[in-house]
Amino acid sequence: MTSALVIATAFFIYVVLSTKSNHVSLKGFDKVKYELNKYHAERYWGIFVAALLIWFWILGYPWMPPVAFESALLQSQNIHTVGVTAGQWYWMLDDRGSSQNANDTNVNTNNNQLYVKAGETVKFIARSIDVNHGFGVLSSSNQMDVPLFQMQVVPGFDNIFYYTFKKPGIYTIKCLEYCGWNHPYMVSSITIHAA
Amino acid sequence: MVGIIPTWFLALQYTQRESEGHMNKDHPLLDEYNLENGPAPLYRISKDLSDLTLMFIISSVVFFLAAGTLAIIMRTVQSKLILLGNQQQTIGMFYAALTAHGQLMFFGFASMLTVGLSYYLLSKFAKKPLYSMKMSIISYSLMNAASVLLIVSAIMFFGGGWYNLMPLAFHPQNGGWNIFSTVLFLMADTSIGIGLVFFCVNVIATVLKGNIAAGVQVSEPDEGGLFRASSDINDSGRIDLIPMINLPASTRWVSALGISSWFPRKYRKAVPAVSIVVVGIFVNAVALLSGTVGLFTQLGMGFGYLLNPDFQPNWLLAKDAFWFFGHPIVYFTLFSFLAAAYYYIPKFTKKTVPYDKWAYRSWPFYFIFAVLVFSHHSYMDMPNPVFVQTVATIASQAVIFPSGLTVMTIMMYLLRSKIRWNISSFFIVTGIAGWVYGGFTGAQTGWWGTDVYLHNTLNVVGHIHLVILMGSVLLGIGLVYGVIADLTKKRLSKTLGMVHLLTTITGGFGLAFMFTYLGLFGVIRREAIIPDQFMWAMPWLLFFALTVGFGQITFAYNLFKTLGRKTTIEEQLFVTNQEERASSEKDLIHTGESST
Ligand code: HEM
Ligand SMILES: [Cu+2]
Repeated sequence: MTSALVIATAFFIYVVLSTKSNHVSLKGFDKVKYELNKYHAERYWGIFVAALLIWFWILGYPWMPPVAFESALLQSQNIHTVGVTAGQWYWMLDDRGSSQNANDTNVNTNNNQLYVKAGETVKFIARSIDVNHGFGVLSSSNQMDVPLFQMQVVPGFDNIFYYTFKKPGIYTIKCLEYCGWNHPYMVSSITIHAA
Repeated sequence: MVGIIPTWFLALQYTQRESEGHMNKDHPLLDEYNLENGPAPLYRISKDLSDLTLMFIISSVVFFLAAGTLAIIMRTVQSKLILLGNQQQTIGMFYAALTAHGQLMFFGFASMLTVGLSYYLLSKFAKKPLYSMKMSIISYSLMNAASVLLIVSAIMFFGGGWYNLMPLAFHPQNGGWNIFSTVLFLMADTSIGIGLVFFCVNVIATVLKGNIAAGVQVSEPDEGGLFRASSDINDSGRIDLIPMINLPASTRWVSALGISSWFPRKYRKAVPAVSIVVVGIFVNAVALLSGTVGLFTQLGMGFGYLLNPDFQPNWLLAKDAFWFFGHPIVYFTLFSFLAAAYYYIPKFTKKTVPYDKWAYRSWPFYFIFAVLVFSHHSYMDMPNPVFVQTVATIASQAVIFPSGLTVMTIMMYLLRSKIRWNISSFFIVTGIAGWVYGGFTGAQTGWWGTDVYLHNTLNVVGHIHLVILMGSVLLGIGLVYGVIADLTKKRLSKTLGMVHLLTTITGGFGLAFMFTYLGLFGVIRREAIIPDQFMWAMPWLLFFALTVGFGQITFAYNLFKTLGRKTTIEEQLFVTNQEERASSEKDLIHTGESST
C-alpha cells in the first residue's frame, strides 16, 4: 500500500519535472504522433492493466468469504454454533453446542454458558431485534483493538460468519455499524479457552 | 503526506514561470492571457444559463462552508474540546453533524457544483442551448430546498446516518432525535432525488434532440474537410468550428455513450463523434438516472414503514437500493469533472497526443461499472446473494481498467509539455493526483476479502476523502476558477487563489492520509469517543481540518469579492480584444444553431 503510494508520487514528480525540459515542439506533432503510435503504447498499457487485474482476482479468490467458509468447513469435523443477539445497545451470546453438520444449529438453545475453544470452527449466527448493527470481533495487539473479522447484522435475517480462533484469550466485541447515540458503548467480549 | 510534496513542488514552478507570460498573436485563443481566464470554448451560452451556472456555484460554496463547519464540530467533539449539557447530548451533536456533513457535502456541495458545471459544459461543448431552461431552474430550486431541510434536521439533532441505513432513522431510542426531523430528512432526500431526475432528463434530451456539435472521431486520420469532435492541435481548441450535425437516430446512443470508439475503423468512421466532454456528462446522467430508482425504492420503503409500522420491509434490499444510487452519485461528480479535464488539460499543456481514442474508449466501461459496483458497500452483509457480491468485487476492481486508461492519457498530455501553471491548472492536476491516491486505497478496500478487516474503519473515510475531497472537489474547484472568468469576464485574485490552493492541499492530504493510516491501524469510524491510544492524532486532525476550512473561507471571500467588483481596465481590454478577433473571423464562428 505504502509502496504503491510512494511509486505513484515518484511518477508524478517525474512527470512534473519533465514539464521543465524542452517540450516536443508543436510543429513536430505528426512526428510525435507517428512515434507514439508506432509502439502502440496505449494498447499495451491497456493489456497490462487488464492482466494485472485478472492476476489480482485469481490471487484474491480464496479470500472471498463464501470460498473461505467452504474451505474452513472442509477442514474441521466439528462446527461450534454460537448465537448472537444484537439490540440497541447490547450484545447477547448463547452457546448452541457442537455438531458434525453445519446446518444442524439447534443442538442446544438454552442460553448455555459460552465455552469456545481455540482451534474450533465457530459458526456465528447473528440476529438483530431492531436496527442494523455491526458484529465486530477485535483482537488486542500493541495495546489497541483492531478488527479481526466483522459482519453486518441486518434485521430480519440470519447473518452467518464462520471463524476459527487461533489463540485463546479475551476478545472484544464491538458494534461496527452506527446504530444510534450509544453506539460507541455497544461493547462486549468473548472468552476463548485453551484447546 | 506524500501527496503534499509534488504539489509544493508545483507551486515552486509556478513562481518561476510567472515572468514568462507572453501573448501569442498567431493563436489568439491559446494566448497566455486567455489561459488565465479559463480556456473556454468560444460558443456563447445564453445569459440565463450563465446566471444559473453562477447561482449553482454560489449555492455550492455556501453549503460547502456549512458542511465544513459540521466537520469542524465533529473534530472538536472527538478531540474532547466541547461538551454540551451532558455527554449524551454531545454525542448526539457528533452524530447529527456526521449525518448532515455527509449529505450536505454530497448533495448541497458536490452534486450542486457538478450539476451546475455540467449544464454549462454541456451547452458549451454541444454548442447548443439546454433542452429546457425551466427544468434546470427546477433542479436548482429543489436541490437548494433539500439542502436547507438537511440543515434544519441537523439542528434538530437528527442522527440517522448520512447513508440513511434504515430502520435506524425511525428508532432513535432513549430521547434521541424527534421523528419530525426524520420526516424532514426524508423529504430532503426526496427532493434531491427529483431534482436530479430533472437534471438527468434535461441532459439526455439536450444530447439526443436536434443538432449537436459532432465530427470525425478524434484520432482518425484527417481526410480533409471534416472537423474533429474534440479539440485537437490542428483546430487549437476551436470547438466553435465543429459543425452542427443531426446525428442519425441509430447512432445517437452509441456516439453519446462513447461505444462507437470500440467499432472497427471502417464503421467507426461512419459514426460522427460528439465531444468527449459531452460523452462524459451523458454517461453520468444515464447512470445517475438509473441510480435514482434505488433512492426512490429506499425512500418508498421508509415512508411506508413510517406510516404503518406493521409493514416490515426488507431492510437488506433498502440498503442495497440506497447504494445503487449512492455509488453513481459519487462517480457522478468525479467522472463529470474528469471528462472536462480531457479538454482543459491539453489546453494548459498545449499538447495533443493521439491517445484520445482511448479516452473515448474508457467511457462505456465507466458506465457499466458505475452501475454495477454498488454492492461493495454491503460486502459485510452475509445474507446478500453471493453472485451480487462477486459481481461487485469484479466490477469494483475493474473500474481500475478505464481509470488506468484515463490516467495514462492525462499523464501523456502532461509529460514533457510546457504546461501553463495557474491556479486552475494546479487544482486540476492535483485533483488527478488525489484521485489516483484514492484509487489505490479503494483497490485495497474494494476486495470482499480485505473488507472484512477494513470495513467501517477510518481507512474507508480516508478513501472517501482522497477520492472526493482531493480528487473530484479539486477538479471542480479548478474548473470554477476558469469558468468564473468565462462567465463574468473577471478573474479571481491570484494571491488569494494561491492561499486557497496551498491550504487545501496541505490540510486535505494531511487529513485524508491520516484517516487512511489510522484506519489501517484499526481505528473505527463513526465513533464519537475515540480510544485513548489515538488521542494523540486528534490535534493533528483538527489542525488539518482547520487548515482546509481556512482555505475555503479564503475562496468564498475571493469569489464574492470578485463577483461584487467592477471589471478592471485590463480585463475590459481583453474582452474587447477577443470580440474584435472573433468578429474578424466571423464566418468561421457559429454561435447558434446551424447545420453543415
Ligand atoms: C472540507 C473538508 C472536510 C473535512 C474537514 C471533513 C471531515 C470529516 C470528518 C471529521 C468526518 C468524520 C469521520 C469519522 O470519524 O467517522 C467526515 C466524514 C465524512 N465525510 Fe468529510 N470532510 C471534508 C470534506 C468532505 C467532502 C468534500 C465530502 C464529500 C463530498 C465528505 C464526505 C464525507 C462523508 C460521506 C463522511 C461520512 C463517513 C462516515 O459515514 O463515517 N467530506 N468528514
Ligand atoms: Cu449497534
